[in-house]
Amino acid sequence: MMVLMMRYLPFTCWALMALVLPWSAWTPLTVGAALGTLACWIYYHTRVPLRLSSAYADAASWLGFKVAPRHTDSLPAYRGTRPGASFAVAFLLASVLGAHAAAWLGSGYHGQWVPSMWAERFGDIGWLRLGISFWGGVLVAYGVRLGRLRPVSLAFMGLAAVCVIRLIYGGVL
Amino acid sequence: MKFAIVTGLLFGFLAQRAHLGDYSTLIAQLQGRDFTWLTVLLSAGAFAWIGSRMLGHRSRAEWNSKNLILSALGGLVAGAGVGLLGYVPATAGVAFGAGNWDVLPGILGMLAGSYVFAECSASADEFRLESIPVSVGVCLAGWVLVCALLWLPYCMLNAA
Repeated sequence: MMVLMMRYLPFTCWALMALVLPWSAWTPLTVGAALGTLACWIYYHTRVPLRLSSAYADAASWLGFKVAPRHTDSLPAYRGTRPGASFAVAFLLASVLGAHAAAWLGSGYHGQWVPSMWAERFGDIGWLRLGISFWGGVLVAYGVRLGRLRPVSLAFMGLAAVCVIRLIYGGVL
Repeated sequence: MKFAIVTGLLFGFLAQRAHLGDYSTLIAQLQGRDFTWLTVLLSAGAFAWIGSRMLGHRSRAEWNSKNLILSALGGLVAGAGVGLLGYVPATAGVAFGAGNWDVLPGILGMLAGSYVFAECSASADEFRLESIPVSVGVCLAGWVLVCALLWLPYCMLNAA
């Protein structure tokens, strides 16, 4: 009983708070505190800091082993690894459902291919937004794997992101 | 796996309550107009730091020059990607759950980028720096690479 309580206590607390607290009480500060607690809770049970970017690497290796098993196995990064559903992949998939629930419960479901902010600037051209999004995804994954999310990497990441946004939208810089 | 699903559900729910999966939230933060992202990160960081200390986790920063240069290069490339994508890897799933379907090609792109990195990882492991001029040269080469990588999207956006 004690083990079960320890395992699911933070979840129970935040679930109760989600039910009791009014929508307006969920400020970024409250959400940040909840996410910080969640990160600790995950670390307490897994003893490994969670890095969601590794979910994409795991999924890519799984796809690689399905499509080209011999070639993928020859890559040093994947040699000796066993493709399968990892903690990060399951976490990421579950986060989709969690966000979906939150969106339907009041934070706003968008259901759009082109964000309104983008449409105001470049028009409602789907292929442009989707092409840029794909290219951005490639750069993000490559850069994150290369930088390994060290503090220096995060600082340069913020700097480069601000520069690119300045390039696209203008704004404070 | 059940634990991953429960915590993932909770993460997605909480993140979307703060609108972290919305395109405009991250862009407004990078423009300095809305500090939702920064508030969440600082608050989460403070709580996670206190909690991890209580749980006995000690992380050690690595400061050798090879790591620094590679980290800086990686950060530049990833930052350029975040600017173009409008989402970060952690909240890409949240964005999809909230109906921002433009993140879908981004997720496919992240899968492709991860695989491309695995293809190149052998050469990255063999990367060696012997002197400061080499480091500076690599930094400059990195900037040129980032500029070249941004040129194509820039032309596409200007053409639109």
